[in-house]
Amino acid sequence: MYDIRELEEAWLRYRKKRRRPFLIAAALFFAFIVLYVLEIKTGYLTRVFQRKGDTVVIVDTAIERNETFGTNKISLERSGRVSQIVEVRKDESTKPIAISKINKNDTMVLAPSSVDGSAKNIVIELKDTNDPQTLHDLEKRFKLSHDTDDSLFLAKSYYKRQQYEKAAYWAYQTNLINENIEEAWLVFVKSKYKLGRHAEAIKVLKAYIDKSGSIRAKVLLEKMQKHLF
Amino acid sequence: MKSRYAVAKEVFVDSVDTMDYIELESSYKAFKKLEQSIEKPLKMILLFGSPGTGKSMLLGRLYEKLKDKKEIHYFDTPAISQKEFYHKIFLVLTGKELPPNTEVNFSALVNYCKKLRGKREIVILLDEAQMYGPELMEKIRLLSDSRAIKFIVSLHKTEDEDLIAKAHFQSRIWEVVELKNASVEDLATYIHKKLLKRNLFEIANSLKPKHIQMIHKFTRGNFRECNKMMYAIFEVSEYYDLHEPNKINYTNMSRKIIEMAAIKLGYIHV
Ligand SMILES: Nc1ncnc2c1ncn2[C@@H]1O[C@H](COP(=O)(O)OP(=O)(O)O)[C@@H](O)[C@H]1O
Ligand SMILES: [Mg+2]
Repeated sequence: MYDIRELEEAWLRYRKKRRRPFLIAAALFFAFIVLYVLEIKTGYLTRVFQRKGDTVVIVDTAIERNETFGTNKISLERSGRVSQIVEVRKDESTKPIAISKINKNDTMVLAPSSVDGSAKNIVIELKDTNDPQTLHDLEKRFKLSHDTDDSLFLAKSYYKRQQYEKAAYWAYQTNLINENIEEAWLVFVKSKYKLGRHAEAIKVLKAYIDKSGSIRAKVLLEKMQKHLF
Repeated sequence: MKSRYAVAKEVFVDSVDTMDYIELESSYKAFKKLEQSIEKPLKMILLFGSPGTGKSMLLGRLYEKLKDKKEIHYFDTPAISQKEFYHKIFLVLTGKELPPNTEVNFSALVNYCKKLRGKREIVILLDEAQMYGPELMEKIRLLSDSRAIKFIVSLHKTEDEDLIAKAHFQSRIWEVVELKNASVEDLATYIHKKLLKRNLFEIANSLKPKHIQMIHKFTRGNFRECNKMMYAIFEVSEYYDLHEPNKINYTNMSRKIIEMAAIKLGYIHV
């Protein structure tokens, strides 16, 4: 059972948000009525509009002064940034970088090719590891290679990206080639479950447990049966 | 004490038991069309629709209805491996398990099918075919070319239609039956009948047309989404029933509970 309190609070926020346009509309309408009544009774609006000419002049000069002040500040900021960028570039150019290897987990290993060899390897983790293009290229490669490493990687990546249809598909393709890869079974089952196909997921998981006796699979089954997954 | 909503909740746990089949306008039409297609001299029939529109349910129903009249088989989940798929076909054709330590030779299988032509008419209902991938699909096509086996292939639209090599398919399939998401009327029938089957009259009556409309809006009439939503609605109701009964109206479902379920499932973002 999930947290009802939390859900109630979220619902209150939702109701407030939903009501906001109505409240604003009602407030505007009320203000309009008030002004309308004032106008009829006292001619207030007509008087305000007559005076409007003076106000505009004052506002105009204020804006002019503001603008000149603004541009000064901007040019200062700009020059500051440029010098920073130049500094960074200088720094990089002293250590030319060679990409030594891009492995499947998309961890780029960058090795500065310094002459004396004193610099250590720099490892840069790319944040968006399994981006759609990489996955697409892997799909193409799999068609030729039929390598279960590729298909399993695809399955896991799609699972992480919450694209469960595709995750199940690639886990299954892995299985077609080698039916003894536990990861593939589990990704398949978990994807089916996430897609709401509980009965099917549990059925396949049981079949796998019969076949392999896997503890991990048993733990997962228990969770799924208790709706805790 | 167990809340009646706990019973209602369980009604909407995902299952494809043909005992739970409910006759709806859309499923009835699709059923008739499939039944007629089987009688036509086609090699393959495609049952098409988004996930959760009731394809498996329909295939199960077709199997139940025709199993005494025809030689029909239902492969509900994809075979674990190519090898296992051949085993299943072997079993269908010969009625025998494959002897241990033997493997099926695919071209021998095709030849065997060719010999059966005109003698037997076998129907195989192939669910979840989008999982098979192009290679196995090609084998399935070769088998159906023998005309001894007719395949009814159920698959769903994926975002990436390329997955199933659809172009390759279209030229070979002569009949397409499509299942769409349910209309508001069908969804109302579905929800009410499911509850009434378990004698949950009061709960069924507490769901008025305006509530069904809301549920339809959130789930777009998809049965599986609807199952998830009903489960969440009754789970919240169950909590109130047990812990804060003053917050629940037993004769008229509250919009609040439906919206809470929608928030829980991410239909509404707060
Ligand atoms: N005609 C029907 N009668 C009863 N339940 C149905 C019917 N159609 C769909 N359902 C329900 O919807 C869910 C999804 O249906 P399913 O056949 O598994 O969809 P698909 O195979 O198209 O993904 C099932 O678990 C079942 O509860
Ligand atoms: Mg299905």
